[in-house]
Amino acid sequence: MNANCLTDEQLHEVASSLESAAADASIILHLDHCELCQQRLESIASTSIDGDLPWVGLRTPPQSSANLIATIDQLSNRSAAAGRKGSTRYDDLEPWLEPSSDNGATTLDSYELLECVGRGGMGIVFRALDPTTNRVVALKAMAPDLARDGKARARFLREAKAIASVRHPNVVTLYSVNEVSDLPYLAMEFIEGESLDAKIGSGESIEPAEIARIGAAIASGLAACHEQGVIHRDIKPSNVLLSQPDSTVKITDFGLAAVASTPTLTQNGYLSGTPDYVAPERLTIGSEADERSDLFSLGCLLYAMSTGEEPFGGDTPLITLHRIATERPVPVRVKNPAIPAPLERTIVALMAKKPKDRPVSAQEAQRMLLGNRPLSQSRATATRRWTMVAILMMIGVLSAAVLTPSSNPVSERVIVSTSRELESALTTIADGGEIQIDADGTLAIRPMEVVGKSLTIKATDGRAPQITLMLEEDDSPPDFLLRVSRGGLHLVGLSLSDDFQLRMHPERDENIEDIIDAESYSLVSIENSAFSAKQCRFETQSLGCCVELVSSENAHVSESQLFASSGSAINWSAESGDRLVLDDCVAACVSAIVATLKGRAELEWTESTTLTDIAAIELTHAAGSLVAEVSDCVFQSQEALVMTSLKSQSVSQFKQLLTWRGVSNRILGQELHIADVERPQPWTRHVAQWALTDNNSTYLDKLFKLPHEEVCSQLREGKTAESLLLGKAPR
Amino acid sequence: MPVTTRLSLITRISDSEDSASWSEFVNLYGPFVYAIGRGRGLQDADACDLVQDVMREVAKSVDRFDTNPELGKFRSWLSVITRRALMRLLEKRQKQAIGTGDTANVVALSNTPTPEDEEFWEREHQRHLFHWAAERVKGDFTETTWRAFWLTAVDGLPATEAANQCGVTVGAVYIAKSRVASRLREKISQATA
Repeated sequence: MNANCLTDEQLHEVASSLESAAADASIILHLDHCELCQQRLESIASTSIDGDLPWVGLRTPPQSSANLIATIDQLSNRSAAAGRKGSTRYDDLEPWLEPSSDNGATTLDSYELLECVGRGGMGIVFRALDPTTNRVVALKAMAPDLARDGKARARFLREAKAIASVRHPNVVTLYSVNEVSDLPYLAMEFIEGESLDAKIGSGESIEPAEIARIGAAIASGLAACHEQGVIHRDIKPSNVLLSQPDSTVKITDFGLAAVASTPTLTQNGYLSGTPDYVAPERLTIGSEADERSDLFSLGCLLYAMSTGEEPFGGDTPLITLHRIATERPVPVRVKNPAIPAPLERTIVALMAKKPKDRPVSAQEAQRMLLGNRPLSQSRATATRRWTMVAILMMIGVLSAAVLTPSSNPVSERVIVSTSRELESALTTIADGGEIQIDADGTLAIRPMEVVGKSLTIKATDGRAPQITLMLEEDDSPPDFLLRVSRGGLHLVGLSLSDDFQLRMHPERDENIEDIIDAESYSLVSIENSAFSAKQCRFETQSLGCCVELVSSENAHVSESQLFASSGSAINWSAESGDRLVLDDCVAACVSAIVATLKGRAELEWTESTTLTDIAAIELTHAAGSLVAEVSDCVFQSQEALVMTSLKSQSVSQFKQLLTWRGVSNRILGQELHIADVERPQPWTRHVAQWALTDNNSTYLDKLFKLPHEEVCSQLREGKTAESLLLGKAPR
Repeated sequence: MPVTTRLSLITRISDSEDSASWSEFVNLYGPFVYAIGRGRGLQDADACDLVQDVMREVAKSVDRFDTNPELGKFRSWLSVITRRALMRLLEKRQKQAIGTGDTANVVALSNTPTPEDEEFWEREHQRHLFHWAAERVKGDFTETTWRAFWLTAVDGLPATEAANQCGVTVGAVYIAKSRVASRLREKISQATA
């Protein structure tokens, strides 16, 4: 220790100061260089419990699930003592409670509290007596925690007043809305009966006629409220009551959900709340719910009544959200053949991912459920019309070429340098032709579709063109940037991207929701066509994917990067014999390959680096099987390497589904990790359990020098995977 | 470090009036018990049952627990309760499975190498305490301070590398790390005391 070294007191002070206390510049300067003082400071900061720093490698947060969150919620809402007695706690309401002068009963703003019947995230509900009318009411007081927030309080009161104006047999009647010392509370009709949640949870199946009756009643109640401009926002079984003795449907908690129960990400990325019934358009930041969001939730609720299961139920809220955004649930009649086809169609229509594909109103939904009117066909076809309209508008008469591919052939190779030329060439190019882009920078094009032709699009050597999606103000959301069906597409040296945020008008933000619609959008959509991409870069900001492959016999992606921060790299719908090759690729996305297998498909994945939030391979609703040859790859997945959404498969079924042949991979985690979102992990030691072979692979706690998100963003910025990896590549 | 003057968590949860402490306890140890259950091969729903079971048991027997602020003692008590509940659950499942003939799953369960060793418990426990505390103290620091801490203490990077990435000096990284570490430890020791 030399004379300049810091004293113990100085070090203690540094370590225990708050953030705001700026350390003395001379102290920082000294710590920059003096290893001795660095060590001393370390040991001072860590003397308190167990010596050295124990947090290295604890990056992965503890496993959680929606179920666990609910369990913890339920448990923590009882005190240890109350847990024994079975009552519900409400001691945080203490400051507002008073003993009644007459009979010693506890009162809140003159209401006599008879019994606490429940507590949710948002409020505490009592059975109470209204002394002026002598009527028994349900009194709901806002949770004091929430009431402290002036904005939440104001919103609660505003919404409540709107609901108070609704009088409908299927909506719980709100008698009054009040506030006492900054604590808002509602007095509502007290319903004797059970919640729909309890009915579904009882395990008994519900008759289709009863499902339709309950659904129609909810729709009728929703219609009355929508008329008053009130959106429920949280339609779910626990918010629907069946009153005794005649099972009259009563919707409760109308509109109040907005105050508290939107699923939210906390600082550490945990989700709170159960998102099972949330409409996909509400997952977009800043989006507002509208009437049709309630209809989506109604569809989910009918689905749950019909099958006994939540349509998107995932192991964690994040998985559920991802599925809401990207997946169609297993058809109702697959799970319960007793459901009549028209009811299933109505449920499917209500659960359409895009709001505009749902029934136009709650009344319409009610009519459909009552069977008075067949499902309107016009909406289903409306979505596909977009491309044709765009092409016709752009190039007028030439659009005939799209419809009749063999006519109007042009030269074998077209050189283009502007967006307009590219659009035109895409329309006129002959089968087998090549478009060469001789330009740098951005070429913004409208969504383009090519049918029945095979074509190559490549950059002139040394050029770096970026094809991006252009949308006009009045455009309806597209399903793709580029689609080729019954032909072939070969891309070389191109960058393809979309940038919705930049191109949307802020005042039309509902459009953004539509565009980021998850279900069907892809940058490149390939149907019944061969596909290859070499030295290309794909980046989508949507919840969709970079490349969609439908019945594509042969797809080959090499030396390319695929980025989809909210979606997947490749959505692969494969028939028997279809083959997908990924070689020397980098992917950073939610899941890399989302495969729907209709037959035995083959995947060859080599020398690639893949970072995913959920899984490198997701197998959804598969009827076929996958043979995966994976070698010299690096996988870092925050959930699992392979995830399946198959239910109740046995080991042998699973082995039939996936044949994994891995060689020399580097994988984050203890072992080859396979999870089933329905029948969750950990099935630790999977290699042994599933007899999957992964030869000469290494399983590491840490693959990259930086945190996951940081690696993804640096890759997007053009850093190579090698430069970010710890140690040398495994090949 | 300030000397903790708070009552031990156990003493507090046995106090029937102190529901906030109970809630804190459930939030802190519920996910831990869940992870232990999942580590033993339980499925989501079963692991949640385990949490219910253990918490009920804790609520029931906490009065009898000889209050001792020593952390180790409490943890072994919780471990005994958890193991007992786990055995009950597995037995129940085994009986059900035999009844339905679906024994494959249970066999898989009991064949799963059990991470029963202290190391696994210790590691999971640390993970829970750490993330539980991190979520609560993160807001007290600027992003750079937090990142400098995270890169060095969690990701295990050398201070020089973290300094590079955060655009601050090495000394500042050490200071950031020591401050967050102190705060986390304080939070954890308060909660578990």
